[in-house]
Formats: sequence, C-alpha cells, structure tokens
Amino acid sequence: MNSRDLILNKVRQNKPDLLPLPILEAYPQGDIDLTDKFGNFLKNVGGDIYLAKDVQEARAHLTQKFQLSESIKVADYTDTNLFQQDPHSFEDVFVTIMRGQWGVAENAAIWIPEEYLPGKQRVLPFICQHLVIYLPADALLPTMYEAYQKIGTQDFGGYGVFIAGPSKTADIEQSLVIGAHGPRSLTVYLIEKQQL
Amino acid sequence: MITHAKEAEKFNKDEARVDWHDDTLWFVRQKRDRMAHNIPEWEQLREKASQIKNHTLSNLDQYLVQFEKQALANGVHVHWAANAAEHNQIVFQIIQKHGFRKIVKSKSMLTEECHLNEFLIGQGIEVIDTDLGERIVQLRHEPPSHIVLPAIHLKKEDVGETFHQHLGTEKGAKDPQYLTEAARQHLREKFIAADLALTGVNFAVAETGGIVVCTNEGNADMGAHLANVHIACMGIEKIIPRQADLSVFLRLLARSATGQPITTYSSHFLRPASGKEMHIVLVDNGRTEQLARTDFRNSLKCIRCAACFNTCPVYRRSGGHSYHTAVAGPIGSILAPNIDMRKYADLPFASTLCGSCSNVCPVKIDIHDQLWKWRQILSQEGHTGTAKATGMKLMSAVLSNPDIYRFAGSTGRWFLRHVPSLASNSLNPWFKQREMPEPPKESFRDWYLKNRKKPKGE
Repeated sequence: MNSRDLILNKVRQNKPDLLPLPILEAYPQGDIDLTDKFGNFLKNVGGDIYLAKDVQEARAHLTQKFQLSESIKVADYTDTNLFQQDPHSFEDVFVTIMRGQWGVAENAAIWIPEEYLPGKQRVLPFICQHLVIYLPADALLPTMYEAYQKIGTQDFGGYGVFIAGPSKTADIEQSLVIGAHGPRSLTVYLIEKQQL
Repeated sequence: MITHAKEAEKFNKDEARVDWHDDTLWFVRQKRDRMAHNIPEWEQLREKASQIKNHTLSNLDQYLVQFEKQALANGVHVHWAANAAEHNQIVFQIIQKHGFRKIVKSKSMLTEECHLNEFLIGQGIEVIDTDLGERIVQLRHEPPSHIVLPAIHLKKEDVGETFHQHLGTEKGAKDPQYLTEAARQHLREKFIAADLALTGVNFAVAETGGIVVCTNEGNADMGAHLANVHIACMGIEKIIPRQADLSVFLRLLARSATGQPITTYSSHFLRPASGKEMHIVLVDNGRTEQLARTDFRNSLKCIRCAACFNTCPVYRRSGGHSYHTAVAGPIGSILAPNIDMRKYADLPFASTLCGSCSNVCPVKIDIHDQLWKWRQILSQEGHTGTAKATGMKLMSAVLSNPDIYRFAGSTGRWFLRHVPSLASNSLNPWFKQREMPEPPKESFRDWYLKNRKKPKGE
C-alpha cells in the first residue's frame, strides 16, 4: 500500500465519531470609527498613514517623502512592463507602490489579491526597501470575519496576502527591529476619491 | 539518558540568565493577555476554534482527500509521507531531480521534527534557515529552544559573538538593530542565490487547496517568490475546512503567540506563479496514532502559538533545550511521548499541573489533564524509573494506613528537629535552592484532639 492510502486508512480507523462544524458568525464591534481604529493599529505596528483626496495628491506626497528621482528605482502598479521580468531583477527596487483591496480595522491588515501586485510580481511587496499602499477610504472593515466574507466571494488569483506594517523581528532579546527581510517602512494612503 | 531534570539543572547554573528568561517570557504572556482582553468575543473565538478543529479531526480523511484534489487542480504537486524518513526522501528527490544545491528555509517545526536539515546537509545540500532566530541557532549548531522565538535562550552578547565569527560583524557589537541589519544583508544574498525555498504551513484549506504561511520578517515570501521551486511541508493536522475559518484562527494566532494583533504577513498560496513549481508534502509521522488515543487526540488541534510555553512556570525556568525535543513546553510534553514513550517518559513530569497552559490555549486543548494522564500511562508501562515507582508505592502504603501515617508523621517531625541534616543535605532534591521548613511541634490531629470542644457528656 502506498503512503497516501496507508495514512488515509489509518485516519479512517482512528478518527472519532463525526462532530458538527460550527457556523461562523460576526461579532458586533459597537459604534467604532473604522478609520481611527485602523490608523491607530497601523501606527502601533510601525506603519505610517496619510489621508489623500486622490492618487495624484498621494503620489506628490510620497515623491517628497522618499525624495524620489530618476535614479531611484520604483515599481509602480501602473507600469505594464513589469509582467515579463525575472523577480531577481527587483533586488534594487527602492519603493513599491501598489493598491490594497480591503483594510481591517482590528489589526491594520491590508488584503492584496494577486492582480493588485505590480506586474503580478509576488516578490515586489517584500524585496523593496519601502512599501506604499493606496487604500480606498471606504474599503475598511471591522474584523477578519468581514474580510473573509469579502474575499470568499472572489477569485484572488494564485496568491494573496494580508500585510500589517513593515517587516520586523524581535528575535534578538525580544528587542523590536523594523526592517527584517522585507520593507523597512510601510506607508498607507487612504484615498478619498475612488478612481484606483 | 537525557532527562528534563538533568538538562534543566545545567540551564539553572546561571541564575541571572534564568531570571531574565523567566521575566522575558512572562512579558510576552502579559502582552498576550492585553490583546486577548481587548477582544470581548475572545472566549467565543476560542470555543469556535476548538469546535472547528474537533470537527476537522472527526472528518480528517475526507478533508485530506478534498485538499489534495483542490491542490492538484491548482497545479500543485501533492506528496504523502508516512514518517520522517519518507518526508526527507521526498524533499531530497525534488531537489535532486532539478540538480539543485542551495535551498532557503523559513520556519517549519515539522522539518525540525523530521531532522531534515541534518539529512540534506549530509547529502551535500546547502540549507540556510532564514528566520533570524533560526539562523542564529543554526550558526551555533543548536536546535531552536522555542517554536516561535527560536533564540530566546540567548542574550544579545551571544548573538554578537556568533555574528562576529560567521558574518564578520564587529567584535563586541551587540546592538540588536546593527546585528539584524547584518543578518538582513547576509540573508538577502542567500535569497537571491537560492534554487529552492522550503516553508512550513500554518493552515491548509480543504475547500480551496491553498496554504497559509504567517511570518513577521517576510522570509517565507522572499524565499518562495524568488526561487523556482517552493516546497511546503505540513503535518496532516494543519487542515481546516473552509477559507473563512481563517478569520477565527488568524484572530487568535498572533495575539496568543506574541501579543500582536496579527503577524505582519499572512500569505495565501493557491497556485504557483507562471513558470514556477510548487509542492506540498503531507506528513503523518505518528499523528494517526495520536488520533487513535481518545485521551490525547485533541493535542492535534494545536496551532503552534506557544502561549503554553510562555505561561509555563517550568518552561520559563528550565529553557527549551531541557525538553530535548523539537516542540518543547507543555504541548511538546504531550506530543512527544506519542512518538517515543521511552525516550520522552520524563516530559509529562516536567510540569506543576497548575493548568495555566490549558487556560491560555487558543484552541482549548486540555494540556494539563493530558500531562496527568500521560503520567499514569507511563507509570503503568514501567517508564518512570524505580526510584519514582518505589517512592510512589511507599507513599501509597503510608497514606492508606492511618496508624503508619501517624507514626511516620511523628518520627519525621522528631528527626527534622533533632537530626536536620537528614533532610538538609544534597541527596534530598527538595533541599536544592530551598531551606527546609521548621518542623511543627505537633500534628494537626494532636492539636485538634487537645483543642476541640468536648461533646456534652464526655
């Protein structure tokens, strides 16, 4: 017998009688300001948050913030040339700019489906030195329950990720260090006018 | 034979370090409490998580089949391994087929359990652990001492010395920011050069055939998205039925583990990127036997948050290496005897049975009850050693006969008063780090007989 059948047979023999699968439910979060809560959690996990009336305003602000110039490599979600490139070629990307689909107020996690990744390049939010996410101001949800209700109804592609803050570690004496392997910073722009 | 008590004795030699270890883990426990208390529905979430896992175990064969079918439809290769050796062979064959030499790994306790690193390195493969804590202990040729905080037994000076030797950082440098930056640069080169990335799995969704991997550092993603081949290794108990079940588990996992609201990255891998290859290895290695043990099967609900480690007074004061197994702490002490009863017979005794582990467990495993039940089985099977067995028999004889009990009490008090060195010596394990108590002048029974109100007519 191969290992697959061996394992499945042993599970069949040894498993207990069937127990019910519980129904998932929403837990009312009371009267909370989603923007406040999301913003506070984002700051707590080391991120920066700004309100922008549109993408142009956000872009102008981040150009200043990161002192972007011709010589600095930026991976932008509007750049259609990114699709065909070898992921290793992004090693020197300084800033990745991409859209987020949903933001979760209880933990500042932002959902990124594959099609939102610049050039569908999965490595781009990780390999860059700094990450920028544009999030529609009306895309905030109270908890992970509501987030998975939204995600459940769509095909998110071959890969999707919740991102909450910049990469970090506390593996040396529990001292928090921002910028482990991934980005050293995360900047989120809540975009008021929806034309993403 | 290695035992928890003997290993803990070594750890306890440096009292200042033990105190630091104790305080640091307690601090993590307190962060967990603050997070849990901020979620009014916390207890409902624990109950929900427990029910989902109970249900899954009761229907595990069907969910495994469903998961395999969906994963295959997603273009993912699925492998089954009955034990650690087969798991290691499967991984090695994939590496060999491509002629690869360099692999990067993110955290996987399963591969620790299977001793994959040693096996692959023996085959001439370069295996680099990329989680910072795991890289530190790998450079020191040590196993992780904690499943979430692998290098928690080390001080920054230790890490500084290790990095000075291996990564060329300045002698004496110990600033965590500086040391982390050095590791970032060193590991970036490894990510770029790797042929293959190996990751663990936090959750595998039967409904979609997808897997979810949680990290703070981003190392699982750096590895998996750069390499041409991604292998994800998982125990068969990592299955959950529905994608939406993740909403329950991701709310509990990081809050329980480190007191964070969620890990920085919760990555959902469904299909390989175009031109790339993805494999999932489903591993039994004793899990189906644990499933058969009614009293112990719900240990398979574990989501590896390590909340039970951080709260455990014995773990905090004895360190992870004392447990001589890949998964230490209270949960490890109920998982390990299932795999090898003789080798791990000491672990269920490395506990005070205070029950704190069960109280913090996000999936409601009755850890301390299982520790107690293991003790009984291990004693019945003769795995507890003659000293403990004889002691227990003697105690049982004394406690079950009132005359002997009274006689033992009064002679004990007499000896403690007149020949204290009989108890206060190094042969008595209770005397270590302790002063023996003042012996009472009389027993409670004697006091009571003297002082009780005499019934009328007596």
